[in-house]
Amino acid sequence: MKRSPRLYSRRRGLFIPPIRARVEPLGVVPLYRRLVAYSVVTVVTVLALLLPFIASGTPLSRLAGYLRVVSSPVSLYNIARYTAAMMLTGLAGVVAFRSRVWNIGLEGYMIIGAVATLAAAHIVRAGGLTLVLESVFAFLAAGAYGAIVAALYLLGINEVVASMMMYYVAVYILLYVVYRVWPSAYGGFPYSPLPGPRQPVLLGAPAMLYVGVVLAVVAELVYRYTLPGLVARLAGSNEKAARIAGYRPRLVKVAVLILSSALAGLAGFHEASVKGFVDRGFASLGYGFAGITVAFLASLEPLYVIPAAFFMGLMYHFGSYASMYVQGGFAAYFYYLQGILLLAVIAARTLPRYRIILEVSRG
Amino acid sequence: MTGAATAIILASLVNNAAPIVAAVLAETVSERSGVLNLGLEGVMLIGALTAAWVAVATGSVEVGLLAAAAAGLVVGALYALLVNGLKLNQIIAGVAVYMLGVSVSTMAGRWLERFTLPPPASIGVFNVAPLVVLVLPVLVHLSLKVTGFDRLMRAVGDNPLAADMMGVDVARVRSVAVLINGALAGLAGGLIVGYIARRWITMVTAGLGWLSIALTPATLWEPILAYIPGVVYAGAVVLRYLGVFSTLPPELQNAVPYVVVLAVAGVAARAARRYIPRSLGSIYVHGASV
Repeated sequence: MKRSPRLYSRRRGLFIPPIRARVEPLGVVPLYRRLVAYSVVTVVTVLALLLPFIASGTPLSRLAGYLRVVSSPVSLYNIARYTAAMMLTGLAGVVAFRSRVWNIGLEGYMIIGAVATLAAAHIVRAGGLTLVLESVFAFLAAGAYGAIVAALYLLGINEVVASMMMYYVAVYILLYVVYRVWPSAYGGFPYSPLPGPRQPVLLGAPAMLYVGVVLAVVAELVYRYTLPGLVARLAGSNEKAARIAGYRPRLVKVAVLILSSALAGLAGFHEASVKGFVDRGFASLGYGFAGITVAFLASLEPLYVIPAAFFMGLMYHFGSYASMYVQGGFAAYFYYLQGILLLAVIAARTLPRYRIILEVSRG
Repeated sequence: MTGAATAIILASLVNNAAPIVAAVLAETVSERSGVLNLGLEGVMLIGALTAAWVAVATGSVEVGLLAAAAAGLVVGALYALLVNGLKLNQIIAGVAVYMLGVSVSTMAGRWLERFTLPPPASIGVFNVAPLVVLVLPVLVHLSLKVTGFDRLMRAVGDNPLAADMMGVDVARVRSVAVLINGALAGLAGGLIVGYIARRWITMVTAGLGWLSIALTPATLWEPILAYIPGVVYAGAVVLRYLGVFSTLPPELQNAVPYVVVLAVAGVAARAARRYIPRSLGSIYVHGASV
């Protein structure tokens, strides 16, 4: 009589399932393999993204409805606004991830940036320079907040964890500010007093959109042609080589972490100055976490952040439309979209490099 | 202080410590084998949702906890497939799992918000399940030792190449560790929703998963030391209840546990540097030329 397989035995080790898959690395990756992987990933991604709609009933008529909504001027302005925010957080992501600093809590720096903008707006009145001062203040405040994470990183805490924890702390700081420091309206939805900062609109788009484009180009040039850019890349790609070349990778990473936090703070300035006030909704805007997805969609190239941010801006807008049909509000659908996209991007980068082998054992 | 008040404080300490102990235990097991699961918070949210759902449907929080562990196991299997099967970057895949956990639980849980969970089984002021969970670190420690799986995990976590040369299937050992991680993390989510929040709230775990990852080094990656983080966190929460921080505004009082944990984690990270599993966070591909 055959004994049923046990889950674990000392002699034979772990239970071996009858059907197993393993991967084998390929030396050279042929083009067709890449194409097959990309198309599989694309099909799976699109299906996964439509899943909540399919669950809700008729996906195609919903999408057609969206196409009618998207071309209105209000929609275009909103898409530009989302794009600008995600360009800044996306750049923050690129700057950090390029040097292999996993500064995931971008959302937290954004909150600090927004709060700092409002603080500056209430403390100083500098005529035409007010907006500039506010943005500088947001940049510096978020950078200082990033310095806390950097200090924790130097102590040996994983920067992913430290920045995420500081995100939760930032949310409580925001709530404190909104409910205790500047509550202009009591009741369910207090917000900071009006009039707040106002960002000018250029050619139908918020001014920060153009600032974002300029920053992306500057970042590309810095990475491509300057020594600091080279060192930042080196600290990410080969830490040992950086050390041998006489640089201190840990110091580089700290600098990059602070810079990336400060960039995310600018996104906070952008959103605060578009809205003109800060309320508790700033705790879950989602631009910060979207920055991670934007950075990887752009394959960590600053210039590609521009189209990637536009794509995600469009998706954010689509998400706010989709929220009418999908349970849980558009932030939820947008998070879902990002999770799927992140997996898709890394899967498309990784999968073609392996041959996947299925093994079926008998008896 | 009367005996009854002390008992209530002790019970609250146990209820707050149990999910952290379970979550830290989960992360300890997977990190010991070299897999960093940053999706812990997402897995916990899925577990919490399942627990709330099943508890409302069956009228028993304990059944909900079992369902939460099962749901966590499923998400753990997904994560194991991503990082051990398809060899995706652990950090990005972890963040993706976190986002999926947040969004799926939010989308699927909206209708549950109006239900309060049924009362859990209890002895006096103490709830049964959190007390049982507090035995888990010893149980996990012993079962890992007895089966010899502990050695495999250490070998794979410290030097996967050497383990591979000795005939250990690295991906399989790591996958089993991630499955254990998933089940325990789901259980932790269930404990939060069943014994602390007492109802489903969107994002009910409120960063406890990240907090557990931050506290994992304090265990020196030994499952049996998972009590330390539990005591640290629950201590901070109970101090808050006792009004030690009452000079701070309430919004900032909520932030106190996070700050305390970060401070402790900072000290622990320094002390634990020598014990860190050396292949933590890196993927291992059998046969890859380095």
